Amino acid sequence: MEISRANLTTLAQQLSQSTDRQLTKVVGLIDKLSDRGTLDAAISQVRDRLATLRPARPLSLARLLFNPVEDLLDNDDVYRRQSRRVNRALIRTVTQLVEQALGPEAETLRTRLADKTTHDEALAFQMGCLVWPRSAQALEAVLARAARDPAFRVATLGRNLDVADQIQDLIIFLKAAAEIEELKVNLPPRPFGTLALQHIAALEKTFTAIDTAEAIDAIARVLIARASRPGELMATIDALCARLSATQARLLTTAITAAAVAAFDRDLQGLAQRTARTAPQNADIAERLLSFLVSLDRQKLGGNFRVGSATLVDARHFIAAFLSPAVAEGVAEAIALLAALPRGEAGNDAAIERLERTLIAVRVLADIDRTVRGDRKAEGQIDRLISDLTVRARDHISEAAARDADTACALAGDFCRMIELVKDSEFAEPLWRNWMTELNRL
Amino acid sequence: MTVPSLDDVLGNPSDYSPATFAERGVTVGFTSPVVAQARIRASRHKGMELVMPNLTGGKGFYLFQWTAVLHSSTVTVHDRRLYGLIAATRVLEPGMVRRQALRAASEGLAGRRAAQRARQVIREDQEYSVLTNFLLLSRLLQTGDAAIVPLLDANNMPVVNSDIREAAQQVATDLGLTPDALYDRIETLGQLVLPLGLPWAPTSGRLRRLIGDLERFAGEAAALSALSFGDFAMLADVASRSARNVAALGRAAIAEIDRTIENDLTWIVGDWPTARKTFPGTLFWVGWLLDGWDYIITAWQAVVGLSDRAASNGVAGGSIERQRDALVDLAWLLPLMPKEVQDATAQSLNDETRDVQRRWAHAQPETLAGRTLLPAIRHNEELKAAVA
Repeated sequence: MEISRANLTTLAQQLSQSTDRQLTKVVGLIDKLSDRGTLDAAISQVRDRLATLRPARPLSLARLLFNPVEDLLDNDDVYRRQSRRVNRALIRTVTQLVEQALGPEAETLRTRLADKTTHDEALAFQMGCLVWPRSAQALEAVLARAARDPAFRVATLGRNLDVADQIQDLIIFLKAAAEIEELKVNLPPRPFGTLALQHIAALEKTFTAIDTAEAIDAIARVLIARASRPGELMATIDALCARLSATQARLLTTAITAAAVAAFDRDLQGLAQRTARTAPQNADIAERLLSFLVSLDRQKLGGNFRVGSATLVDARHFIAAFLSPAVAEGVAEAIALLAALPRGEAGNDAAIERLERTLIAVRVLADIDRTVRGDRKAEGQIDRLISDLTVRARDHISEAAARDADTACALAGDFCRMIELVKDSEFAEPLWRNWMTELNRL
Repeated sequence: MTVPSLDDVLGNPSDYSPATFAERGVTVGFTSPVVAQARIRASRHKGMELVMPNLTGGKGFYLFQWTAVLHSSTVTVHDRRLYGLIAATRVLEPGMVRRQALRAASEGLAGRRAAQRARQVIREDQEYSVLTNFLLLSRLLQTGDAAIVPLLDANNMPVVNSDIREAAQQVATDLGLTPDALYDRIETLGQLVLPLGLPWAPTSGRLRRLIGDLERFAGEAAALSALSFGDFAMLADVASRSARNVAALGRAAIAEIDRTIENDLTWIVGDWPTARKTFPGTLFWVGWLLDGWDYIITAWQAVVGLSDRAASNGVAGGSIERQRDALVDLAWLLPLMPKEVQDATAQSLNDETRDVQRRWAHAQPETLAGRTLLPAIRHNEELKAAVA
């Protein structure tokens, strides 16, 4: 389906502003079209959200083939060679090549997949186990012929040599696809944070069963792409290595380090492109960067990872330079939001919610700053914020108490939470008790 | 301050299998991850103790003293307040714990949304209480010789009418009671049946609705199990069958309660000193039976999204990975049935539940740490804001 560029831009904007439910519905409608044409471009704007929402999408040969690399797909305009990612433009080419290789069986497969969705995981896995090895074999045959026959290569893969390299890369994923998909089922949805014991057991089961460097590398890349804090994953893997054979441990640490360093580079490039950020956005970035740093630091403690010390020093300097202004800006942002609250009135929920998110971010940033620098300079900023909070709390509550005790109590609860978020509950609870006692509510 | 040793904090694990509901304890809606949904029960020694699952996924449960929890981890102001309120009442029963949880949340210490929801629930409970009392009075009037008067307005809310007072006086006289004594007994009975609601009430009570939700959850978990494979399919299957069994036991008990109220209301109110010895026990039993499931249902519904249920195959809406992860997170909360429930299915499910809980150990390396728990605390507050 072809639509004009203007309409496409409008649709993409509307999709990006839609609620989760609306987005799921629209994508469901688009999926029902036999030829999506330029609508694919509109969907590409919301792929990150779709990756998190994971609505039921039609199951197709293309989805089966690219499921193992779904976390590594980059749009054509973002994709860079040697980035250890996969260009989304490869999907069409590879699917056609595999369909040709499967011959009449492709039609049988299409019939089996008709009306099935990505939520039919057991079926997807079963069909994948049939398709992945044969597809890998077919693609290997294509690459072998392309190496012998330049005319065939140009006609089939085009002049871009990177396409053959990517297909070679994809073949590795297809060979390890069963292990990758089984592992994904046993891990939390992406982006995952701290792994529980059952998740670590699943990792151990997977890595104990495989011993080829390529397969381990493929799984490591998928894991790093799915982790919200890759450094934390590296620490988990490091501990896991003690239970693997020496060869497996060596292969795994090499693979996970390479994948993490590539992801770190990608993060830094992304950071350099963005400008104005709120405190919560800064806190997310800082947590991810700290996660890398902590893992890299393990080298000093005799961990398995081997990363150049220059990388470590660079990373620490980079993060420290990022954190100093981030803490100060966060405190300023929080004080400005506090000043904007209507004095002695309940104010609106959205303003309080935003303020709380900002205060949490400030606390996180200050904690990370202390960890990275090894000093407590950021605590001065935090003390200034707590002092401001305490003074304002008393003003707001007494002003409200003169008019309406219920509002005053609600404000006591609000300010207690704010102070608890920035400091701790032991500090906040006595303050709340004092306020409530003065309001005769305890 | 003396820092307690690990043994002081963790106690000794034992092969815990509760004999009674009281020994199983009451779940408390704390927001701090380390104690979230911990069960609280009377200690053999003094005061109360927290019963918590084995953090390593091994056999048995751990018993904590509250002071040990405060010494060893970060506990929110909300949880400190809630524990204080529960400790002050000295009665451990699911309904009471729920009332104190609503009170603590209504003070705003778990956030504005939780406070608004708690205040709304308290208001709804009060309205439902008034409605229940009037429905009881109405039924008594219908069973007596007094003239039937309209007691509810177009919105199913009670109306005050002088005719009611006269009719009630007539009923009180028939039962050998003063009008005040009649009102007292109706109010007492109304409070007892409040969680269930009366069988003829226009809207169901909280626990009746919960049983409906449990049955829906059982269906969705079964559908998820059918779509999955491996260990997870087993977990979803056990969760589904546990929920279905509890719902069936609950429905059977409620049917018995309904029959008693329908047939013997005049006797219950007229001879309350005798009726109070047997009748309230079954009502409390249903509360104990369902204790702990409301959180599981709320957490599940928060993931699947009530509005997104796909009607076609009974599978819940939302991302399938999130459903799976939610169920894994909730597995360790699946309540074990105490031995006092002499139901073969329940006892066999206990073994399977324990097996699943060991296999999918709930390990939170960060639970004893500090501020990194903020997202988890906020998640628990969000659930508090959604709880009924």
